[in-house]
This record gives sequence, C-alpha cells and structure tokens, in this order.
Amino acid sequence: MGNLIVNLQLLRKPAWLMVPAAILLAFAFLLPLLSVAQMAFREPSTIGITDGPYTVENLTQAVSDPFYWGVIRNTAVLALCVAVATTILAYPVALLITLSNPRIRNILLILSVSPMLMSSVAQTFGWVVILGPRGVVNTALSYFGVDHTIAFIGSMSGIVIALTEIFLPYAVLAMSSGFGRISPGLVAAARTLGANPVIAFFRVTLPLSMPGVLLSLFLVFVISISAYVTPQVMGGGRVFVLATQIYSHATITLNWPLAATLALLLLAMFGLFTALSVAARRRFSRRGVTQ
Amino acid sequence: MSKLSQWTLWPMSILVLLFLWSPMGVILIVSFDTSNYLAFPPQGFTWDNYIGVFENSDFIDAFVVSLSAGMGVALLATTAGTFAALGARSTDNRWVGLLSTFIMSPLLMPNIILGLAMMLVFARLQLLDTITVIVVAHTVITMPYAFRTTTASLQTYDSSSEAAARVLGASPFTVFRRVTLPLIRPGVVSALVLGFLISFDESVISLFITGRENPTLPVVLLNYIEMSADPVIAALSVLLVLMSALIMLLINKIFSLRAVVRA
Amino acid sequence: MTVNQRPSEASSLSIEDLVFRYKKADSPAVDTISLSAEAGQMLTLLGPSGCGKTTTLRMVAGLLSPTSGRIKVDERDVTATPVHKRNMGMVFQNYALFPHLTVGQNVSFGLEMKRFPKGERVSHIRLALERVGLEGYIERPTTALSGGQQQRVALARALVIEPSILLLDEPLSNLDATLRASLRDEIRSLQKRTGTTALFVTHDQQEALAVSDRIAVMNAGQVEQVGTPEDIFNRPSTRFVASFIGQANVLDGEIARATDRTAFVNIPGLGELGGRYDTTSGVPAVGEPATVAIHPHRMTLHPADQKERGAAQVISSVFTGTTVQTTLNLAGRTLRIESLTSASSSAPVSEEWVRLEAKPDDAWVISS
Repeated sequence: MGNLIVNLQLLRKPAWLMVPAAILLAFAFLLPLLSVAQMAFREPSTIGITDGPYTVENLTQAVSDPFYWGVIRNTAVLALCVAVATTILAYPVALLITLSNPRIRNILLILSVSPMLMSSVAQTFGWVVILGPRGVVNTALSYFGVDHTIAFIGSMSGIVIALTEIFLPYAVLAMSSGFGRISPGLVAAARTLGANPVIAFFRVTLPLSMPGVLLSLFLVFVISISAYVTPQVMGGGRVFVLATQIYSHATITLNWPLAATLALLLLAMFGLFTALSVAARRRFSRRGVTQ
Repeated sequence: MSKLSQWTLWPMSILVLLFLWSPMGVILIVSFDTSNYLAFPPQGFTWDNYIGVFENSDFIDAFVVSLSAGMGVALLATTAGTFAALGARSTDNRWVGLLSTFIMSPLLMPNIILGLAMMLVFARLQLLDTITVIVVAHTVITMPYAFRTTTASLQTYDSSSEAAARVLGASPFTVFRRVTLPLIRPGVVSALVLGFLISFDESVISLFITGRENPTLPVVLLNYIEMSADPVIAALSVLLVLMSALIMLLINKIFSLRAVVRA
Repeated sequence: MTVNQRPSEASSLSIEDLVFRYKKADSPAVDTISLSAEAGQMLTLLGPSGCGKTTTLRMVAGLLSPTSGRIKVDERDVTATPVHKRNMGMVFQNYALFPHLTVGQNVSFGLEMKRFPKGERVSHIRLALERVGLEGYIERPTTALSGGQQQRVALARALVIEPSILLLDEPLSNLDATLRASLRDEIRSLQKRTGTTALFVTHDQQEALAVSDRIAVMNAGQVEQVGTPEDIFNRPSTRFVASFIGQANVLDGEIARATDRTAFVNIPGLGELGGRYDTTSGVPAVGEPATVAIHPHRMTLHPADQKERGAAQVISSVFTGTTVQTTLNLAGRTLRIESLTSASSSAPVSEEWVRLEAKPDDAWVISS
C-alpha cells in the first residue's frame, strides 16, 4: 500500500514543463511589449532605433494633433461600421445554424467558416478585383449605363466592404456560440400562446439572441481596429487608420517613438473594448443561461 | 423549422454566403484570364498564369522561406506548447494558473502591435530578416493554439488511466510513451497543422520583421498587389488556398479514419 | 365523476382520419387515426416512442400540418387555422419557459397576445400562479426554479389563456419519480377543476392510467384501442395493448370451447386456460387462433411435480417487500408472476417446479 502511494506521487505532474514556453514568451513577447512602452516615451526620431531622452511629447502630440484625432476617429468609425455590418449579415446565417438539424448545421458551418483558411491578403486581393476601377462592380454598372466610376478603392467604403466579408466567419462563430438559449421549442411555445411568427421573433428569438449579437459586435470591433492589410490595400494610401500609421512610422518615416505611442493608443482602445465585452458577457451569464 | 425561417432565413443566408465566397470566386475566374492586367469580364482562358507563378523567382524564394519557417514554427510551438500543457496539469502549484494565462495571452494581442514590438527588440539584436526570427515570432502567436489543443485532448481522459498503468507496473517513461502520448496525439497533430497554417498565412508581423533577404510569401504577395496587381497573383492566391484546403482535408481524413478504426 | 360541474364553455375535440407523412419517409408517422374527446375530458395518447403520439399532438396544436384528415374543435374545422389562432394551451416536455422573462412575464405572455388590458392581466396571473402553488414567485427569473416549479409555471402559462384544449406533451418525463407522481395528480385535479378538455401524451402507462378519462393506445402510427383505463387494462382488444399495458403475460393458442361468458384457449405445453372475452363480437368459433392475457398479479403459484402437465420452472424470484416477482419458464416461454408477500409464506426458489393457476374472471381472451 505504501509502495503504491509512493508510485502515484511520482506521477505528480511536473509544473517545470511549462518553463520553456514561459522563457520563450518572456523573451519574444513580454520584452518586446515592454520596449514598446519604453520607446513611446523617447524623443521623436527619424532613424529608427533611438536611445534618446525620455519625454511625453509623442503622447501629447498624438492626442492633441487634429490629424491623429482624425486617425483615431477613422479607426473607430471603420471598426464600428464593420462590426455592425458583419453582425447584421451574419445574423440570419447564425440563426439558421442554430435552428437547423445537425447535418445542415455542419454544412452551413463549413461553408461559413472555411473562408478563414484563405489568407486575408488573398481575400483583400479578391476585393481589389471586385471593387477596382475596372472591377466587377464598376463593369456591371457601366453595362447598365452608369458612366460614373465608383472609387471604392482609396475610400472608407471599400475597406468596410472587404473587412465585413473577411470578418464574417468570426461573427458567425461568435454569434452562434451566443445563441445557446434560442430553440425551436420556445418559438413553438410562443406560437401556441397566440404569437404570430413575426411577434414570436421579436418577443422571443430576438431578445434571446442579444448575447450572441453583443459578442459578435465586440469581437469584430476589436479585431477591426487592429486590422492592417485590408485598410492598407483598399485604402490605397488615402485612408489613415492607427494600424497603417503605426506601420508607416515604423518602416517609412522611421519615427519609432511615434509608432510606439500610436501602438499604445491602439492597445488602449483594444483593451477598453475587450474589457467591455468581458463585462457584457458576465452580465449575460449572470442573468442565467439554462440550456 | 417554421415556414418563416424557411422563407426568410434561407434566402438571406444564401445571399450572405455568396457575398462571403465572392472574392474566392472572382480570384478563381481571374486566375485563368488571358489579359495581363486585372479586368472584368475575363478576356479568355489560359493556364499561363499558373505557369507564371512557378517562373517567378520572387514567389519561389518566398515560398521556400515560408515553408521552412512554417515547419520550424510547427515543431517549436508544438513541442513547447505540449510540454506546457503537460506541466499545466499539476494542480498543487500556484504558478500554473498564472503561467497558463501568460501562455494564452499572445492571442489577445493585435498582430500590428506584436509586429512593432518584435521589430524594436530584434532590430537591436540584429536578427531582423532571418528565418530564425520568423520562427520565433510566429511561435509566440501559435503556441497558445498548441497549448489549447493539447490541453483539450488531455482533458478528455482521466489521469487515472496513467495511474492504472503505473499500478500495472509501467515505468514513468513507459507510461508517457504507451498511455499519455497516444491519448494526446490528436491534440499534438492538430497543433502541428495549425502552427504551420497560421505561420504560413501570417502577414502583419512578417511585414515588420522581414525585409529584402527573407520575405515570406504573404509579404511578397502584398507587395505585388500594391505594385502591379495582375492575374498571376490570382493564380498564386488560388494555389495558396488549395494548399491550405488540402492540408485540412488530409488531416480530417486521417483523423476520421482513425476514429472509424477505433470504433 | 363530477361531469356535471363542468363549465359550459369547455370544448370538444375530434380528430378525423388524420395522416402525417414526413418527407422521404416510407410509411406515415401517423396513419389515418380518428379520435374524439368530449368537453372536459382528459384523453391520453399512450404508446412507445416513435408511435406517432407526439406528432398527433403537434398537429392538434397546429405546429405541424397534417398530410390529410381534419381536426375539429366544437365541430368547427381548425385544420387550416394557424397555431397562434387556435387558442390551445400547450405544456412541453422541456418546459419551454422563456429564459429572458420572469415567472410573471411568462404567464403574462399569452394574455398580452390576446391584448388583455394591463390591469386585468395582473389578477389573472396571480390566480394562475396561485392555482399551481407558486403565489410568491411572480418576480422570480424562471432560471432559478427547479424542474417541478418550471413545469408548474408552464402549466399556469398554458391555463391562464383559458385554452379550448390543453395539450400536454410528456410534461412529467423530465422530472424525478416522486415529483412525477405528485405533479401528475396536481395536473389531473387542476384539469378537472378548470373543466378544461385535455390531450395528454405519454409513454408511461402508470401516468396514463392515473390521469385519463379515456386512453388511446397507439402503435406504429395507428390507434390500437380507445377506452377507459379499466377497459385498456382489463379488456385489451389487441395483443399489442395486452403486452404493453401492465406487462401482462400473453399466451397464444386456439379456442378449445366457449360459453356465453368464458372462452377456453388451448395453450401448447400448458393446457386449457379460460378467460372472459368481448361478447359484442359473438361467441368465438372452436379452433380459431386466440391469445390469453393475464396480468402478473392475477396468477397464483402452487408447488408441482416436474412431470405434471403445465408445470413451469422458476428462473428467478425477486423479493421487493410488498410483492415477490417470479420469472418462470413454461415450455420455452417466459412468464412473470407477481404475488403479495406474507410473513408466513416463503418466496419460490430457483429451479423449483410450480403449477400456475388463474381464475377465468381474471384472464382476458383476444380472438383474432
């Protein structure tokens, strides 16, 4: 018996197995983030690496310069538009997934999630082909007699359309995971109590889908404010958001302290909305999820 | 399902799915176009764009970089992530919870910030634009997945099966090889695949830490799209999507086969 | 029965030649059934899972459209009426309470759909909750309730709209055994008190026998027999009903002789066994195939010799306190006998040989 206990104690899981992963992250994740924080408070530079004296100039410039206010506003407006558009478009798909039988549900899930496999660069390229000056949409318009070419590329609209499509799978996943309380049985119950299909939707299904809707709005908002590739390509260098500004200061003007400051601003927005989404989720789960 | 959903949800969902698949469809069509600039509708049918992909040394070089980095990432992230997942089962250590959160935290960090942050550090170490730095950077963002998939497969069984093996007289190493490893194999294999695919597709961090010497394929693709978008890019995009899809299908096949054999 | 106290507004239900066929299914899930429930009655659809009972109920509710046939409430054809205009209260197996609403709001839902003024709603809600013993729960979230309480809320929600028909879809099957029995009796007394016509669906024969005015036993989409609980239990009209209800022993043979009260069936390996039969269809002819159904507790065991004709061997006997349940092997057939215990007698022992006895009044002959 004593022997058995000794043997079983040898099985105690060794926590030190986590150390290699932790060291790697300390070196390649934590240290870089700390150096962003440090870099944000150095004097502006034009040569990249700098060990200049510390200052809060970058931060005051970023929050007082109307240009950067515009960049922050652009970032927020873009993310809001994308979050709302994706959530509205994903809603019927997510609802259909929730209400369907397992076989149909799987097919719909695969159809709506597998575009995630396609790199965002390739997907953005697809949108260049669709929305470009000689793309699908403008060709179709001129075929119907509209001479005027719509400049999707180089404007907010092109970025919103492309990002909406690229983030649609995330919205479908987030929403269907938040639709746990919706069931055909509840709709049936409402119907037997005298609700017509439309009233049953607005009184039962819609309120029960709010956790999923909120989850999707927050998730897509948060990933949209940090999107880089699509705003860069679809914006054609004429629409500025935080991510594109961070990249151009880091690699073109080589003002690393400013890039780091903008990164901190982005991180603050990111953190704020992540915290809000966590709080919202808590509130919903406290209200009780039965099924 | 009620008639309402039948007549409203289905048509709406089909439209949304068409929207979702439209870039993919358009790229596929354009990749066979005979004209040498992007235009719609296509002018003719040809395979030349696909041949063009393989004649472009930029693409081939970048493919080799992405391929080697992807394999390195898969191995490193899976090894470190699996070890961490095994270590995280220790319940009597108060650091475990904290370390688990730490390992998962890169998932919460936008790539644009991670890219800048890594550039700042690796520039000082003069490591930029090497395959090593790509592997390290991408391991940071893929290790959480490896940790999660292995943890998930560890949770599907009770550690009492290991205790049972010990009681039956197996040494700790034998237990690991004969009991633990087979049980976590699905998690480890999906970690390998995910690690490779995520690294292969990643563009933002790579933009910061690579340059002229060792750009990854997404970086080169992005540069081409911004400079000269032509049907060869479409052909390359189609090939990349095909590759990801094939890998996923293959893995699915292997796993469902195994599930059938087990049942 | 207090049939006379039934309120005048109670409705009658009749189902005529109802058929339901799922797409791609070979045989219909509900195959030409006709049933009726008088005003204030509780009619139960009883049968194994997949027999079509829930499909029938959902057609009555309007949640499914029948392939053919008609559903009438008070002789008014409602087959084409949409669900929300049928005014039927329904109680679901999984309660189906709206999780985002409180208990009071759940009960209020149907009243709001009927555009009851707010002031009137409150008193109706209070009365409905009082009836199910949940007076103080009006403000509670439904998610904080136990299964039994949730089903009471569902019952209040269904009854508050004064439905023409109350539909109960296995309302007790998600509850544990003791709760099941008490809620069962509550549902029955509530249904009687309110005089509501009810259609109750269950697979549990105890439940069906305990609550019903009439029971329709269903099997494979068809109604096997309709009758009072006593009819169904004592006078099964088909072999299926006999074996499904009370787990009666069912023995096949052929008619040996018959009087105007009793028919004697020759059972191979056992001998003649007498029982009552359905006299409305005339005296059965000698030699006709027939089946005898005897409930386990209506047979007695006596010690016997192995060589004796009709001797059976005890396979096992289980002492459960009030009764002893004995399983016998009679010429290759398995029979179950349940006998009351007494302090003096002892339970049969395995491998022991016994002789069976049953009074003709306790057995029932089904001639085919």
